[in-house]
Amino acid sequence: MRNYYIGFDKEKCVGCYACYVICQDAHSDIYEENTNSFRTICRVAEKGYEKNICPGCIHCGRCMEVCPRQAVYREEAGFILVEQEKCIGCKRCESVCPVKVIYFGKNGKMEKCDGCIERIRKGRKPACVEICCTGAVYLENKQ
Amino acid sequence: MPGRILKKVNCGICPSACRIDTYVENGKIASIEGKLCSKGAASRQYVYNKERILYPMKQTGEKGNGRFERISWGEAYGIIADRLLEIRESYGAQSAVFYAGYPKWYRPALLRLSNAYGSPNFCTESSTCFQAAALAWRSTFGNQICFPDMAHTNTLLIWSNNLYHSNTAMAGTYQRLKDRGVKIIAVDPRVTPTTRKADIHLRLFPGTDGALALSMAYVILTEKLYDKSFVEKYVYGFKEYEKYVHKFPPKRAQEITGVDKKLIRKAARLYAGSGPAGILVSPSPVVHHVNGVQNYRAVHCLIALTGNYDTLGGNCPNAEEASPCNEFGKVKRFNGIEAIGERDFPVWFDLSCEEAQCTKLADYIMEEKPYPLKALTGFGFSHRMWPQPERLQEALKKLDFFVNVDLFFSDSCRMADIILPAATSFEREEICIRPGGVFSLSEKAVEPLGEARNDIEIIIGMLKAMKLKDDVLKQGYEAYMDYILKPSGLSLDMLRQSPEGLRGKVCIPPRFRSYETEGFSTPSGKIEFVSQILERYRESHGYSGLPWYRDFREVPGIDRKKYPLILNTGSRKPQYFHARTYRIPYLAALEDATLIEMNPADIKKYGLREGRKAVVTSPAGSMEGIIRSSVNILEGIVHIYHGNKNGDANELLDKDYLDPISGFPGFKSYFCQVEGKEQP
Repeated sequence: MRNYYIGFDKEKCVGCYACYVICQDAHSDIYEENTNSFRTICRVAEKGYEKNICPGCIHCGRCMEVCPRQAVYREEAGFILVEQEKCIGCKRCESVCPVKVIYFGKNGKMEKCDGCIERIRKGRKPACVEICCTGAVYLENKQ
Repeated sequence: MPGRILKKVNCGICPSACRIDTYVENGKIASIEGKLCSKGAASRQYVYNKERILYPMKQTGEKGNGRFERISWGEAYGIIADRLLEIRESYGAQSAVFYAGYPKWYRPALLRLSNAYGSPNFCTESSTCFQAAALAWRSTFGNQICFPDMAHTNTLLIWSNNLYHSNTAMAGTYQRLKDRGVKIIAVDPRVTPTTRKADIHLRLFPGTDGALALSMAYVILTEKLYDKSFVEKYVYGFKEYEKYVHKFPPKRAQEITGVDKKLIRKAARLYAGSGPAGILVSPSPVVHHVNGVQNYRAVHCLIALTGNYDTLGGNCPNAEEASPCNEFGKVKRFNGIEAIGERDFPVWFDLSCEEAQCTKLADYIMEEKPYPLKALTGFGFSHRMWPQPERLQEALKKLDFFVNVDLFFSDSCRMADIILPAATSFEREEICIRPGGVFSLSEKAVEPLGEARNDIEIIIGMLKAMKLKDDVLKQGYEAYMDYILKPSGLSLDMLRQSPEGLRGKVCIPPRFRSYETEGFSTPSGKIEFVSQILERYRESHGYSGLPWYRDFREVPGIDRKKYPLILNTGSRKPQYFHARTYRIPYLAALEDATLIEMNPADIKKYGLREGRKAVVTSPAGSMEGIIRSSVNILEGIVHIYHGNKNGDANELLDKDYLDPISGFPGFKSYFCQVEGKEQP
């Protein structure tokens, strides 16, 4: 059993939005309107400088802990996934998410980063990790 | 996965041409991978965009009404041939302009078509991008721009280049330089991810680059940090230059540029004293000023002054192994008839880039000077590139015939008589020249959408329809690709077998100091700090051979009380590339458009509010946008990205606010005011 972690180094992030966009490309129909990226854009500032960065789910599991229907679970590789059939759309998970990367689709069901688990099973990297030019988004295998 | 094919495709959205691993299923692009920026990440929405042109079409009714009907390729070629040949017969070949926008791969073929037709008016988007930088370089060194030998440089001076956002895939190269301990000096009015990683950031007012470079030269000269023996042997006009440079002590340069005089000294000492040092220039920011060519000449002179020309780790013509090929930069433009732009910008032609200069295209069409223009054959022609684009759009109406080949149904297409569908880089092949004498092939991943065709096949189709003669193109597309590769010893078939790339069989090893035997291709045979070609036009056009500094703020006739802010348009954003990516839903959703970006102090000073609508007015026009605050921007400067049909910053630029040498518009330093719009 392996334990993966998608890391994000906000210092290395230059705000190019590549991970944000490729996440949509990897998870949505390109003809669909108003799609969500499972990453988010936020503005960070320090003295005399500000930039946009695109953090993503850290698979911390807080959404899993508060879910009243056990719709959210940790799969064997370590990623937090959702079983949409069980979701009742109560949005408790959204309120506790530290990165604010939980979304609700048109069907009212919770959606989130799935770690591109299907790609990993085929020996590929998650889309956001694969595309990042600066190494800000990276895949760690804890074992 | 069964039926899943991997193809190697070069992204064609911007010229960086990043490699995309393209997975094809059932004839469609199913997924893409690679080290890419956000534009490349949106490739599938680019290819399968609802604005793609799918069939040849002809305009029905009045131009500009946007009503088109589908026709066959045969009918389209027939109409094009009839109209272009009629116009040649009635008005002469010079009345037809052949224009290349993006991408660039077919340019030599289009130049051949223009030559075969007999027109001197082959023009490209380089009339406002890159070629002025190349011209500035050629006027000084006589050859093509020499890039820094990054593998061996010890200090890198990055002059106005936010590579993290303009060429994101270059991030690795930049980070390796940092890891190697290379010292970085970055020149940029903004704070950017690139300047943040620099050791010294020279944060100048836009358009004052020349004064900054001359002041660095002042420090280098007065502190005897220059390469005396190199300068004595290889530089023409040094005495005059030295005298002129003495007008720019750091104290004065601080007043002009806003850069701390101590920092100017520090940067000059680092660049001159910690060599080998290279300068990484950029295609357009510095030359998008009314003194752009001269400002860049002042920058380029630093390379020779410090002996960093054609030396390991400096700016070198042949630092890497290369393999020869045909076409790119080798096809000469027919110049038997006066071209457009030739009277206004003679140095553009004396230091020929083998293109006419069409920066004043709207004037040339409307005023019929130097002669009437009647036809335009455009490939990716977009009026949004020019200052006051709507004026050019009106001028296009006056043409007798306009054919535009494009990927998308752009606003310019509305003015065309015929529009033809071009293929994206995913739908055709392309030979790519890589560093180190390597050629690779961008593979055709999928069949073109609709009836789209590759640009070169379209050019050959036009050539044949008009029965024009060109010995190379007449052989057809594949033979033409082989012709391009021939000097390298490779062929198209060999690249199809190894699309990832092959080293040319004929290779030229790296060379340094070749000037010792070959000299310089300038009138004096030396590096010209005083350009003899510019001096030719001292009387007629007011040019100076020296890298003269003329401050744009002294341009007469502008009421600075009314227009207190400096307008800077087009500084790169990672998701945009001119007008073309606003139509991509993923990219358009990233931020509001058009943003009017200002320092928070100015937002307060002018009574504006973040996120609210505002109107920007210049002496030439106005536009509407949304206020966005950014501390990365200097006080007194307004940054706006161009090309958005709903608020185009280029409407603010005066059509005559041009660099008198290159004709480049002063996109990066004009004047404006910003007023809040009443909220409904």
